[in-house]
Amino acid sequence: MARPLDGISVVDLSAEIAGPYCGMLLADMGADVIVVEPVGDNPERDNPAFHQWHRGQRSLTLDLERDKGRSLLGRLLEGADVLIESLPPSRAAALGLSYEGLAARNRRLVYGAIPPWGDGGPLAERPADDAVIAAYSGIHGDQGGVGKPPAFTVMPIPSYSAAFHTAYGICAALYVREITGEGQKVEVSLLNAALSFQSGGFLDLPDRPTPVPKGRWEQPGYAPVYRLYRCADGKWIFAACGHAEFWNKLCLALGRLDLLSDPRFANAPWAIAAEDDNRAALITELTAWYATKPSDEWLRILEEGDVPAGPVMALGDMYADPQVLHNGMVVEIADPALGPTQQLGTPVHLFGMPGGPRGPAPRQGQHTAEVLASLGYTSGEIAGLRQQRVV
Amino acid sequence: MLDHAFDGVRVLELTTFIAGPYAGTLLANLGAHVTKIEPPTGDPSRILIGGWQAWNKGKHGLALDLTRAEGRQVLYRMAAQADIFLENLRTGVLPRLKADYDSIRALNPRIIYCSVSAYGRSGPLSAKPGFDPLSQARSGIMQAQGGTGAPVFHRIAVCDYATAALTAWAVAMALFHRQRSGQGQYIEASLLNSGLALQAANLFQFSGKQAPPRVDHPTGAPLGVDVTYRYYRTRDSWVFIGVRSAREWTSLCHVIEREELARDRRFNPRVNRLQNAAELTSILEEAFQQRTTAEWMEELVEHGAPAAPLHYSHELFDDPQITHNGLLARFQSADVGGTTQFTNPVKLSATPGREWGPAPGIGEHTDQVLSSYGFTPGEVAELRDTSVVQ
Repeated sequence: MARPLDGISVVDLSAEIAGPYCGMLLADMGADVIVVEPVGDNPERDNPAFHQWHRGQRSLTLDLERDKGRSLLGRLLEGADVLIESLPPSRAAALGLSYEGLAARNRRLVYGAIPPWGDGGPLAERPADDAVIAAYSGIHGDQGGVGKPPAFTVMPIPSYSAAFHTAYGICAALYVREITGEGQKVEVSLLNAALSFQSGGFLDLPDRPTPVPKGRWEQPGYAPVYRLYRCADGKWIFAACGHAEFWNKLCLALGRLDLLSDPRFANAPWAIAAEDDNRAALITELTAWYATKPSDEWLRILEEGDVPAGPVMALGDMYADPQVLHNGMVVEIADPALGPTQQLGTPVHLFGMPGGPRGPAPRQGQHTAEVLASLGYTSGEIAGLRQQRVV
Repeated sequence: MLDHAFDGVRVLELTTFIAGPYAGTLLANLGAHVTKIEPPTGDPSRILIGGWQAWNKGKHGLALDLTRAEGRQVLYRMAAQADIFLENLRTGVLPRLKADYDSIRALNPRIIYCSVSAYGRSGPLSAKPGFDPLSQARSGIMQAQGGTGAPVFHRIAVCDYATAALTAWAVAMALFHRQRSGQGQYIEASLLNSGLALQAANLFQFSGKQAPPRVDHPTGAPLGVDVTYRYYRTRDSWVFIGVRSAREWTSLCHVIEREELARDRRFNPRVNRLQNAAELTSILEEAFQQRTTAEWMEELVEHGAPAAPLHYSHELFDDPQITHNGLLARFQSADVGGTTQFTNPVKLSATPGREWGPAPGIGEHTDQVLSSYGFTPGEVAELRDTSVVQ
């Protein structure tokens, strides 16, 4: 079946998470992604997730520390549609990667850059990876709360966000290219991506408190009725009453009409958050109430009352979850190195051309000869490059 | 030629809260003309004042009463001319309005129709109402963060934001496809799918897979992954150390003036640091107490050890790197006055985005939007007189 990015060739020079994940999203949608690996040991392969990020792609080994390797890369990029790299600006320059230079030889190239900080600026060369950016951008501080220990987030939020935003920028540039005939540079730094996920709190309003009110932050949720509660069986549920309609439905479902008419809890769910004593009082009421029944009973009651609520589940539950499977979010792929694997499906669904993984990750250098031949290298030349360990 | 990537692309939005709206803002950032259609009483998520501004920046506001047949006729007439139809209302609402994909496609075969939901528009959970934390809970994100302790709610609406970015990606891809083929299509994104996409590395399963390592504070909140990749308390705050390579470790030893540790067999190579983590933790905990975070950062940066100070987002409005990246803009909003807020994170060199302005007031652009969709001044006046629009 046709895929939206059929015929688009991508050269992936990126490392760690963001760039490879972006490449995976593009490959699932039909792009021909060539992952460029070093000739010797590739430390990126120490991370098993490499086998997921590079599924359905082709592998080319290339020594970019040598002139011959870099000139071969230049030749590859002359015919490519998209480049993905994740280098700080000085390192990209050292490899001869500048948008202007590459565009002079290929006006149609879409150059996707995911530097840690930006294309310049005071921090551009400071060493950083996902967690450094998460710390710097306030993710851990805000999660922990002012005056409390930071809360390191186990999800690599900046990298995942950068993967999604870069895929967006690249496809926007491909759309533009269909109209203008010209490529361009797309840049999404990890820092930009981290802040995009915080945009709702990242704004300064006149006469309003700072986004993290001191001492008010409570880890289990945002408001007494938008929060985690523990039930009689020890399991946790989250009830998310995002507006007044659901607050009303919650009180009805819980059989607690007294809460609805209690003046202390007027203006629930959100305005109540401003009043500490009333907030604490409502949390106390609800904590005691949820502790009276097991979680599955509460969830049934809340569902019947049309209250948005759900169980806390483990990632391990997802492989057999009916909705997850219905959505096609777990796919099975036999990987030559790892054996049978279960991997993420494609998170957006384009009906008519749904896409999805096209096979396992390549072996290191599996497609070197094939790619070089397509660039016009003869088998003699390829053998020579191999002998010199350029490829 | 295009000045902005999505010049001339028209988006109609029936959205609320974050996932749908922020997708619209990401499209507006790159130049799309986005009309946010609200009921005359306003989008219910306007109660989240600051967030509402951020998630609806750069849109045109149209207040339209869709409970009336005349209001729905306005919607259909606009949808017949739009490029993108974006919605994230509860499952069943759009079919009731006769504004589901099949209905809109009948009016406009080239439409790219994007439906954003909590769990999917079909399947066992599709009828349930959902908000971001329910997907955080259901997809395993809260439990993963909590570790062996209680589940932890993420303050950032991660499933919402991921859905917004993935939706924008899908829309851009569909526009590209339509440009090549002339064909529109139907797209679905969901908070549940995004919750899994946010755990891609951990979801990836194979025989012999190890559980990801972590280091917890006594209160249960994670401090990091291992002894040299975690937060340490300093004299006045905390600092994050992101040391992995041998070179970075040597730099760290130098910075804390304990060069001998770089040669100590207990802590070299890296596998020994992990093996003797308890011993090394005590040494590093004590060392980092000696100076302030700012003092440590100066040294760590000078010697090339990856590190970051503990920050809160509200401290970052004057940050020089964020300023360099052009991520903040000042707006004068009819609703909230002067604000500084986050702007376009996706930088395109040839067709950069544009700043349309702040989030609209209720019905702020009603006349302008209707006129751009071909309604005559007489028609607009009549719609106003009969309160179909505001």
